[in-house]
Amino acid sequence: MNPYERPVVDRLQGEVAQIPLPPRERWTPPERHRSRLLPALAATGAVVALAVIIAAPALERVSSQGEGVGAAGSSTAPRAAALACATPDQATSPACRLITGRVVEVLGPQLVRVTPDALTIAADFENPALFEADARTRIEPAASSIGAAGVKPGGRVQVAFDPLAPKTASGAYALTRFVVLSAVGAPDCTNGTPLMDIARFPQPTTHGGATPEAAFRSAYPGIPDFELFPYGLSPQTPVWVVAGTDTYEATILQDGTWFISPAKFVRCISFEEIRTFSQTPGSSPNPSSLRPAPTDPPPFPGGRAPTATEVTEQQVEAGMPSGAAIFAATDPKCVLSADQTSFRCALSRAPAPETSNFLDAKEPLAIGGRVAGGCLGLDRGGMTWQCYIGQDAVDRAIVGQNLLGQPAPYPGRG
Amino acid sequence: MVRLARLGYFMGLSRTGPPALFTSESAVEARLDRSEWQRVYEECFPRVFRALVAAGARPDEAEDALHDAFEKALTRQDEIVRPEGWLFVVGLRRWRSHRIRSAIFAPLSILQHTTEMNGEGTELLSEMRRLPLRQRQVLAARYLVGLSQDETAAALGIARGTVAAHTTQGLAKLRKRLEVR
Repeated sequence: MNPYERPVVDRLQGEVAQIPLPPRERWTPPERHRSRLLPALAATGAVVALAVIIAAPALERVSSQGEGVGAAGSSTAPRAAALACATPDQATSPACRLITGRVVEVLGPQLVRVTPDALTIAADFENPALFEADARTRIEPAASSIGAAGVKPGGRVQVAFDPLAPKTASGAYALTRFVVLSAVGAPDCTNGTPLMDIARFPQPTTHGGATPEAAFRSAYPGIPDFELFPYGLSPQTPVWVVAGTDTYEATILQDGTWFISPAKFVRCISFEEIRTFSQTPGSSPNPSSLRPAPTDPPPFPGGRAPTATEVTEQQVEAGMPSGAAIFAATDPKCVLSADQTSFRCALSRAPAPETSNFLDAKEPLAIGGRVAGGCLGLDRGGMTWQCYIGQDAVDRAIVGQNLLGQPAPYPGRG
Repeated sequence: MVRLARLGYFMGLSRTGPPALFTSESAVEARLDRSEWQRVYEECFPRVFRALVAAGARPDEAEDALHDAFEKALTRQDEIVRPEGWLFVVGLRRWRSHRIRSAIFAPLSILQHTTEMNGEGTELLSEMRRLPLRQRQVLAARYLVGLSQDETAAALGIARGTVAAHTTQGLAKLRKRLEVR
């Protein structure tokens, strides 16, 4: 060290000596009793935790399918919502406010589709809205599940749920209370009439059974047990038929015989809505079928279905739930593919569990009230879809040529 | 007991031992006795702790690094000579690896802020922290831990000439900056 460096070193050492030391008891680390297996255990734990995080949603869905559609307790948030009704003083909370409605479909032991009676309430949610019970849902009369409560489509119920709580994996509102007022019966609507989804219509040459019961036994000889619920006192009023969770409607034909068709209760429509349909040019309300004929939407520009480049991502996102009921409340997000021939759509919530495997499932897509294409399921859970527009959907056998461009006033089912 | 006797010999507890930092002698099977090692470690702690802080570590980082070095020594099968040098080098490595891991997860601004030395009478130390890492390591090893050029070269795994060069360059920079201030 040369003489020029010595002052620097001395000063440096002097400054370093001022660095405060930690307390003496902290100089030596506390004695560790770490096992050599600890790192391995920690790594194993991390892997297991990672696997749980990744696999939990899938396991949740598997569990749901195993117990029927929409099993109980599919997430913690709905459980928390259910707890809101646990005490009497909480019974007045929004999560416990009872809304009266009609069961439209029983999709599983714990999953039910209900349409609220009040249109103002119905307008705030999907109509019919999907509800899911879990182990903490208070079911009245007491039952282990909605299915066990014996409620059937058309049954009058009251539901309570927290609309702000996260939806279940099935995309349903989590029920806090489910009260069965009448387990079964013909759908009836205060200040309106039921809107029905009729699967088949009679042809001019159709001859049915002498009575609704005879017509049903003739049409469905394999279903011995069913119940009949006339809509009114008149002997010619349609009859609602409930067989298990399936529903049908019997209507009388001009020759006095009865015709049976699978039917689903969609929702209540008000008389005002019916008048609107009646006053719309081109509409043809058909009171006998109780299904109002909506106004035909305008045809596609140019008289042909659009192509992928002619529609926007937002139109496709809106078109999925318009075309297929399973996409209700799934909040799809679609992106045009690089080759601009299709849209890749990811759902925020799982579609209604219509099937246990959505891989290669085909669902129509409706834009502007008409069938504009179709979507192909890309995974078993139904969270990802490839949607093709126009003739591309026909070429891929997603929708039939005859269906393309046809009016689609209601989301399709099945 | 043989091990402890040899340890004391190599650690400079007996001043008659060779000055080598690390020995190439065969490993001793018995491990270090914790209480004996603790005594030696605590003798070295102030010097090595301050050297690590001067080299750029935060006090808490230096403390952790030395704790790790203490534990690591207990698992070693071979001899440790010049324990302060060994602790400094192992502590440096632990601190550096910790700092690299932290840099991945922590915003850089935090690290830059925490390495600043702000205080009365620490101007030269602050200047030293602005030197390149290797120069800081060499200066700390040489003048704060008290290693020779050979020991520093062996400890840091660099040539003796490199130690000399870094020492000269580092001190020159400090002196220059000191004169400017």
